[in-house]
Amino acid sequence: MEATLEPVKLGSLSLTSRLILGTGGAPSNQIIKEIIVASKAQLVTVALRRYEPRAANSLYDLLRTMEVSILPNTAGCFTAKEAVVTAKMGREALETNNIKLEVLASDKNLLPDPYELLDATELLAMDGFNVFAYTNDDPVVARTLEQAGAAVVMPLGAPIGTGLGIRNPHNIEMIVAQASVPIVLDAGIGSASDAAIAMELGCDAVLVASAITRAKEPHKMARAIALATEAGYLSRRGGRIPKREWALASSPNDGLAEFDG
Amino acid sequence: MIEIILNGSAYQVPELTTIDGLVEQIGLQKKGVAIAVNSEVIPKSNWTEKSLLSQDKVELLTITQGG
Repeated sequence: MEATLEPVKLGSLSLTSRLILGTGGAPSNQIIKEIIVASKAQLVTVALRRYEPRAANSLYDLLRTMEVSILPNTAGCFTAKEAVVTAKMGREALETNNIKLEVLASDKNLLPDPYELLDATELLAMDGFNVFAYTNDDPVVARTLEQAGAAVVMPLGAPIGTGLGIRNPHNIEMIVAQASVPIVLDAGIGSASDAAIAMELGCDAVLVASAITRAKEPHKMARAIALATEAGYLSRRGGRIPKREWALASSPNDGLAEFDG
Repeated sequence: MIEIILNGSAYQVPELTTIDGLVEQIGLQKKGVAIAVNSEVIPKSNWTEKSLLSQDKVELLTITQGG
C-alpha cells in the first residue's frame, strides 16, 4: 500500500504539496521557474512593490504560465494600517482573498510585531480575507491570532533569512497541539533536514524562500526540501517510536544458539 | 494637463483622466496590478469612474519577488 499525501486546506486552497515556495531572493525569473518545477510547489509567495517600467510585469507573466497559485504578502509593512492597505492591493492585483500577513517590528531582526499583527488580522478577517499570519514562535500569540480570525498561523523557526533552523521546537509542538487551524512553519529553514523536522513536529506545511533561492544550486535544494517536507510529513504520520533510556534488541532473544567460548 | 504624484514622482496627465486612462497612458496590462489614490485602494470595477485630481498621490503596484 503506497503512503499518500493528503491535501491540506490553506485559506481557499487545497494543496497536495506541503512546501510553499517563497520567490524572494531568487537571482532571476529563470531560477524561479526552475525551482517551481523542481519542488513541484503549488503555492508561491510574492511581494507588492511600485511598478517599474524596466521590470514590466515579468514575474506575473511567468507565474501565470505555470500551474501555481500566488500568495501575496505584506512584506515591508511595520504598522497594521500599512499592512491592511497592502493586503487590499494584493487582493486587487491577484484576485485572491488569501494574504500572507507580515507586520514587522524591526528592520534588523525582522521579527513580527504581535500587537500590530493582531490588529491587522482582525481587520482583514472581518473584511473577508483568509489571513496567513506570520508570527513569532509564541504559543500564546499563535492562539490569539487564531481567535482573531487567522485562517493559517505561520510561526517562525528563526528570523527571516538566517537559516538557523527551528530554534524552539517545543514551542512549535505546543502551537501545533493547541491549534484548530493549519500551522505552517515560516522562516528560519536553512536546509532539507530543517523542513523534515518542522513536519515531524506536526506542522501542516513549510514556507521556504532564502534556503532555496539563495542556495548555491537552487533547483537541487528545491528538490531536496520538497522531498524532506514529504518525508517529514510521512514520518509524523508513521508515528515515531518512543525514546528509551536503554537499548532494546530488535532481533529475537529466543532460539539463540549456544557456542563455546 | 494636471500634475499627479505617481509612485513618488511628478507625472502629467490630461484633466479628467480616469484610473483606466492612466493605466492606458502608461501602457500597462490591467492584470497583476493594483492602484491606490491617496492611500485608498481603487477596485478595478471603479477604474473607469474614478478621475484623478491635481496632486493626487497615486501608488501603482505590481508583484515582485517576495518570501
